[in-house]
Amino acid sequence: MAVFVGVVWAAIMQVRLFAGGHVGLAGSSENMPCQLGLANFRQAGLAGWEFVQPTWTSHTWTGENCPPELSTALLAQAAGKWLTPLLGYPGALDLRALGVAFGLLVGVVCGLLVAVVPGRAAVRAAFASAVGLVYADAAFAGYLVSPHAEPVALVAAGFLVVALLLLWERPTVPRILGAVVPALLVVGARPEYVTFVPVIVFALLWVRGRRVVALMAATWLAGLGIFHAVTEARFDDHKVVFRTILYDDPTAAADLTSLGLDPQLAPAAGLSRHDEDWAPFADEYHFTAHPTPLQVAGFYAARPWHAIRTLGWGFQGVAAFSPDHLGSYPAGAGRTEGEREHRIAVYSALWEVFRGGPLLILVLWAATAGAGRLVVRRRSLTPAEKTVGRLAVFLPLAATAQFAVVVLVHGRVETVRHMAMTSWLTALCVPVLAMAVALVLTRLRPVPRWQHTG
Amino acid sequence: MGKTLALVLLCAAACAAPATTHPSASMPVGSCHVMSQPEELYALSDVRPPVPCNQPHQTETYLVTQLTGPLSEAPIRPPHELLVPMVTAGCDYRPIRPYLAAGPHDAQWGVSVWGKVPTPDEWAAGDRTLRCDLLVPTTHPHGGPLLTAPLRGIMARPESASIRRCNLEGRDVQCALPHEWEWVEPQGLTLNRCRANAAMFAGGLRGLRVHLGRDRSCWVGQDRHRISVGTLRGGMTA
Repeated sequence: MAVFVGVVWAAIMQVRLFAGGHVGLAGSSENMPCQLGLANFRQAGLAGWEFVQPTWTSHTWTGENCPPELSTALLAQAAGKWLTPLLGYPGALDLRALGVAFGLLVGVVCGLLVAVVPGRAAVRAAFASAVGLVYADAAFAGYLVSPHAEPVALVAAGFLVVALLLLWERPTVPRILGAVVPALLVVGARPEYVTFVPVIVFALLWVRGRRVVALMAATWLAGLGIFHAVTEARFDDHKVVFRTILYDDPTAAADLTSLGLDPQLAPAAGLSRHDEDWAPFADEYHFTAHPTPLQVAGFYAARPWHAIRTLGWGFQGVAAFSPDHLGSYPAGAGRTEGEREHRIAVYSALWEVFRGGPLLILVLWAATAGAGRLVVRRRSLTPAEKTVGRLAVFLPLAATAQFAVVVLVHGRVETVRHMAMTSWLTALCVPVLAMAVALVLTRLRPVPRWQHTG
Repeated sequence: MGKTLALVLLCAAACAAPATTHPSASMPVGSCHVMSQPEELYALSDVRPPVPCNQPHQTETYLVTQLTGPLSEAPIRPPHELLVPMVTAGCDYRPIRPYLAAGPHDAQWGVSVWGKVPTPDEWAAGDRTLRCDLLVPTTHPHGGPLLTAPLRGIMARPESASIRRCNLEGRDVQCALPHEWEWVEPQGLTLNRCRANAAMFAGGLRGLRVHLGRDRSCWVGQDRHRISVGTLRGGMTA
């Protein structure tokens, strides 16, 4: 059954990505593959958001044109360089080769879920397919053929879910190590994913037995995660202050003073750095003090009105679900600039509910965590069944932590794309919540221990 | 240090070898530069070694000067938004026409100026060289700017068609592309004066006709509305 479901989902992913012409996600200004000596020769006059341009060719970068960037996504892109000629694609790296590989890995995740999730075969297949539908959804599938760091994180997060279910079911040293590998791939993909560190550490230590090994693994993970975040994170206070806090802000001057900035910069509220009107303020801004993320967090703590506003934009970003400002089709496919595909859009359609009421996302997180807690505490459930409860607690925690850091460091600038991981975790809450509720409802009465199957 | 070590470890198998660089301060006037990627064009500095100007390239240096003013005294290189006004002010446009060998009836068209400043390390070491490059528009609808000839003195050569203004069916195009009319400097003239200038420009008006635009701009074209490619500038037609 597991192999069958895995093969079916690997095939579905290939068909939805490539049948009738390939789709993906436009790179915009994403240039991470330059670290591998690659360049994406896009058409003159195109900014990058319009079309997917999958072919990257060898290029010699010099000086600051390709600033050092450390991400586990580079491992996948390096593998893509190796796969590109094997699959007959042009250039030194063709992102379609990555799409083929990621699509197959999604099939592996689905197959493994069938193998590790408790319950009857049909229930396990349905759960795995619900996860497969998340990957296949138009909101996420495009990432698999893109130069962004997200695909590595999203696919690795799928393996992390499998590894945690295995670990919680029976903690052994190989299972602990098996959870650390995908965890490292997720945490190392983008500095913002450092928020996974405390949640994964919590997940690793939420076991009975092997706690010393789990603690060692958690310590290594925390060290590497924090190192990555410290070396890679670039906090741009301009977009947090001027494009978020000061956006449509009647008390801009006072808020600038509170943040330690010159109140004379108040007329620059809402302006982008690329805005012509920003030029007169550039000099003053350069020489003024710049707030740290902690100072911004302190500002929000002291001014709940601002915090509520910014959280609202964050929830709108998760509710929007799909990065609609980035095109899905390649140039020359007869599509308009920035046109989006909707080949599979089950979750995108379901998300209409959240677009109508973004705060319902909070309700989904709370319900999932609450149901998970009930499952974990229900004595009548087997250890294998309780792993679903732990997952139901883990996912909203991870989503909330990721949501918080994105809101803090990106504000309302390109929120939908920055919320990709939050949205993926939130989408996963749907089948996990369904499964947790089913477990709670079907085992209302305690089952004698001798009747347990797991 | 830690970041470099991590990058080395991660990239050991796959990352590109470091490229050879050339100090910003040693790029002379007349040097040609490859900037095939938008990121390279928009970057503040360029330390890729120059290429011979008869090889494919994107920009050519017409002026090398020094950044001046209070900001240039900053020990750390100021950010992009502060350097751009400095670069704009520092890249004087006046040497451009002499550099291109443009005469009184030659008008360069579509040529833009791009400034390059030292890298952060070079800046910290005291270098304040400002390099001013010329970029010409592309002749390929799906390609970026590309030159294979030096811009220095180009107005005296047929290749100047790529930086001359022509018109086809009311749309401005480079003279290197099919066109009906070619612009003659200056504008704001009578038809007779336009004819005289066009004659001087083309070395006579045999087989040519002249047109005075509504904005009193002066245009010269082939007789019988023939479509041509290249410039009509005297002595340079193909």
